[in-house]
Amino acid sequence: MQQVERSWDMLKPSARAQVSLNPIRNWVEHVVPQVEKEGKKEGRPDKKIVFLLGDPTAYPKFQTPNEYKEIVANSVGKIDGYTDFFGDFNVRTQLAEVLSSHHRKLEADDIILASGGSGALFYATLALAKPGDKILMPRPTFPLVKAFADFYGIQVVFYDLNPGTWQVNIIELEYIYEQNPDIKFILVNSPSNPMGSELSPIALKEIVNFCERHYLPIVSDEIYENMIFEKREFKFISDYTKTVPVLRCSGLTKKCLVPGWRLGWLALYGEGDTFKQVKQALRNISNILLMPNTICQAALCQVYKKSLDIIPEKMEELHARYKALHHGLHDAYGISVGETKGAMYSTLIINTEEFSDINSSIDFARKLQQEQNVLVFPGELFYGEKFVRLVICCDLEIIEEACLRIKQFCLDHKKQYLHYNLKSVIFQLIIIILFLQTAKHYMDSKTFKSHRSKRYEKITILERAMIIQMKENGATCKEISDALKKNIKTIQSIKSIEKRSEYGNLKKALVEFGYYWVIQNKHFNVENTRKLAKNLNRLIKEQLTSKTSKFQHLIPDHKKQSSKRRIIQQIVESIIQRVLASKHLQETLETTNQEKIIPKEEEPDDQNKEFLDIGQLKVLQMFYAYTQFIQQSIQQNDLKN
Amino acid sequence: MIKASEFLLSQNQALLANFSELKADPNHAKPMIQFMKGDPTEFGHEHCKMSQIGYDIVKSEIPKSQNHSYCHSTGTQPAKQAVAKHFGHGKNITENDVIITQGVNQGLFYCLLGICDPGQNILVPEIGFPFFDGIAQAYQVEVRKYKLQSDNNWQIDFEDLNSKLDANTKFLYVINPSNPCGSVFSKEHVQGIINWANQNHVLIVADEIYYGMSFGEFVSFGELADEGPIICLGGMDKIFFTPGWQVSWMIFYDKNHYADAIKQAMFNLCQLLLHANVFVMNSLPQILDQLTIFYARDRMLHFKENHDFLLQELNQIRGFKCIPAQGTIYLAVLIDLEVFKVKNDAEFAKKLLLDQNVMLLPLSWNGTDKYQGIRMLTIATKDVYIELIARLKEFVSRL
Repeated sequence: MQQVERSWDMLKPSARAQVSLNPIRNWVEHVVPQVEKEGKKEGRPDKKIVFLLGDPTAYPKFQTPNEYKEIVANSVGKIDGYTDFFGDFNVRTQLAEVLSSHHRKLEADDIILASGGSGALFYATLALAKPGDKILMPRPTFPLVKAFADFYGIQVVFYDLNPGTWQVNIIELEYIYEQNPDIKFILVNSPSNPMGSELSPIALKEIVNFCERHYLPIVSDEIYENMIFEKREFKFISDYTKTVPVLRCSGLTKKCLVPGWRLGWLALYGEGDTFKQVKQALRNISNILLMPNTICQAALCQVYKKSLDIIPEKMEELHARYKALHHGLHDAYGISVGETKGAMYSTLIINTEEFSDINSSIDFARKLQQEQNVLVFPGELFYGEKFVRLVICCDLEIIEEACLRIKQFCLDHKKQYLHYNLKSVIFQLIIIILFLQTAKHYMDSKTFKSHRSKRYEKITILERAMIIQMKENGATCKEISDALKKNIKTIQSIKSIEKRSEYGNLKKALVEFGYYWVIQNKHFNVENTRKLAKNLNRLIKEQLTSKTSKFQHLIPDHKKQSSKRRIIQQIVESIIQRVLASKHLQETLETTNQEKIIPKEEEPDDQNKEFLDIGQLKVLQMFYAYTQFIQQSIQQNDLKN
Repeated sequence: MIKASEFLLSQNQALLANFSELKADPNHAKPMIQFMKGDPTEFGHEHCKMSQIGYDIVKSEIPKSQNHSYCHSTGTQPAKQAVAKHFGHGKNITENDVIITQGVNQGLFYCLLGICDPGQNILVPEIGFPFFDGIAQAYQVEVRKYKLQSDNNWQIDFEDLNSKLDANTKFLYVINPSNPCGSVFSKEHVQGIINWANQNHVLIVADEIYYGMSFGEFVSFGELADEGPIICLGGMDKIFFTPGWQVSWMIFYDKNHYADAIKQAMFNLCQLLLHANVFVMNSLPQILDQLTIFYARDRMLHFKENHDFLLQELNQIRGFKCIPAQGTIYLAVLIDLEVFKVKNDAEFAKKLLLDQNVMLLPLSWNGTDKYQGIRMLTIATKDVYIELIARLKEFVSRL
């Protein structure tokens, strides 16, 4: 017998299973009790208000309707044995019929039943991505797919949603794609958890076009499908495309208020044999994990159809709650209620700068629990920041009560400013503006240039490389300047060069995006550059406004505010040049008899309003401030007299 | 066409490819007789069915509103307590030692994911339900086959087992009662396996989905658990004839807490795929109380009858040799390749299907290439077997 060294100490779990995998369950099970222990503030309201878990049935108004219970009770005993591991054939056939859209007829083969919406997402994720692959996910997001990805070593690339409106920033998507062309799919979630937002038809179309350009399949998390406040037909992302493959993941869980049933499905929308291989992969995994509970399978279609009648009334209830929340907090200090259009969540956007001692949404959530006994999820659990999620299923009175507490909480943490009187503020402003204006003239003059060169010391290429290396290792400018005996300005300037090159990439990406945008939108009258510029201007501006946008981070600080218009103008001009020089466009132009290009000098004067240059803007601001100042002093003089 | 992930494509592929090769002729003159799935309800026999009492219990749980909500990811408290109570065997098992899974497959899946790192290995019986065969490779875990003695009630050959063990072995997988052999280990043999595991410090993962389904004695690994840890997997699947309900369990017998970290890892994994159906879980306490854990065992007579009939009839047909079972719904039948003029049992199955429209599962698809034969099921009614025997006889006579 072979000698084997073994002991009970060797009984260890696998490395990947040793970390807690679900940040949400972790917050509820560990952090909340911990915070409670750390001490509640004196005078805290006794009644706990819980906005935590996304289980609607935990609230009186959103319990499982009796209609569904009756249907499922009648299903007991119908199917006890194994069905197809994809789900019972008849059930899939019926569901396929229900889920067929006007331009896509589904068959039983296109439906895969799974254990809840999470099971469907698990299947979809693994069917498209293997360990080491990259997938594209929104941020903020429900963290489940991220948990799957982390577990399997699939790399997640996030695209940020615009805070507050939670719409998609398509140019950022393009930029991210350029950096990660090996992405396997994009995850879309609308209506959304945690934000309760809905992607607009424009956003859906843009995503579809984006996917079409890059042959990217869409995994659409539709567990909140049909759950919208507006009284209209719900539009699925698959309604906007005939060519882009969409894996729609859904389940009865939320919309039918039956999270305990664990019944979900995956519906494959694609042409011909788009999904041939994917179906094979899905067959493999469903052979491992088998089908969902058969009692619920037998009830599925009936309950789903019934839900189409019941959802609107439930959504009306939820809408009333959202309105109460919105109304209750419209004048709250330092926070605003995020735009909510459906699902069962809403968000509070936190402006941390306006609070004295709240630096993050985790801070906000913990202190709100300790001081006001209101429990919310911080945005960090959803990989976002500066917002908290609220489940808005509780009764109206509770929401009203919560609003009062939250408002009080915000006031308690209000930042205390030094009090200037208005007059002195304006006066200082004028001084500053005048100073800047002078400085600008000064900058233009040669004397400044010679003066400036003295402030920067010369460095060799070797030194430069060294500085960059040190910076990458986390050394501060001060430390480096001490170490290399160079003045700190010189060290700082190295950083700015780096930033500038990133910024150059940004501009390049924006130009590229704008160019494709023009090419895609054939209806533009390309020859009329003025109109085109106007449209492009708006497009680029939209892309740059989002605060969390990756692009935004790339803009050097000193360029961020003051010269945005100039940046935009430069970009727009580059795009137009590229468009006009494009061979692709020349060909299409030849076939159409369009108007002549209007030479720049012949453009009407009002054009200048669109592209106001920075000098003019400052002069106008100064003029405005000056007139305000004059007016006020006149008023005050009048009062005195 | 979208490219699917190779990771999933590689899993179970060989086995499923085998299945897809078994294609029946839809225009065959004879109606199809199919014995593929280990689903005791398939032939709708009145004895192979959940009792009306069980259905009524589930129906009585459905109106309760808390039975439609989310619950703890390891299952509801009443379900876990009920399992601990009925399968505790006086070993101080509490709800904290129980996880409710969606099917025993999910439990096996968690064992692979939660215990094994790439490069490690597990010991799996050569001839047995081939769960790990299809997927372990994708997780870079080696499946090492240990021998069962076909001439000795399919007992484990310890000498062979020793030769497969090394420092990277994570657990010993045993299936008792066995699919596809229908064998049931004696108390002495179970004790022998536990002793071996204790000596070598090996975790036992005992697949007891056919718990109690023996013609005679049955001893659970949980009953004899002592020094070392044992994970027992069981479920409503077969013992209540409700594989579709997908409520199963995983019990940790581990009085010395050697496997606490593994248990915690399993809890973590449960957060990924979440819990089973809540109203069925909450029906479990009453079902276990009223129908007892021996619901299936008390109905073994039906299977025994079929088993004996098949044994007697098949052994008389040239080329077949049954290895008697001690329980379950299976019977392993070896075939003589020369008699049937085939190179393996898969070819035999295909030939039989074309000729007689009878679909049987080749033994070699149960993770072995040592045994050539078919897995019979004892779940059908007598008339089906009479017809089956007649067709097999005809098949042989035409050779």
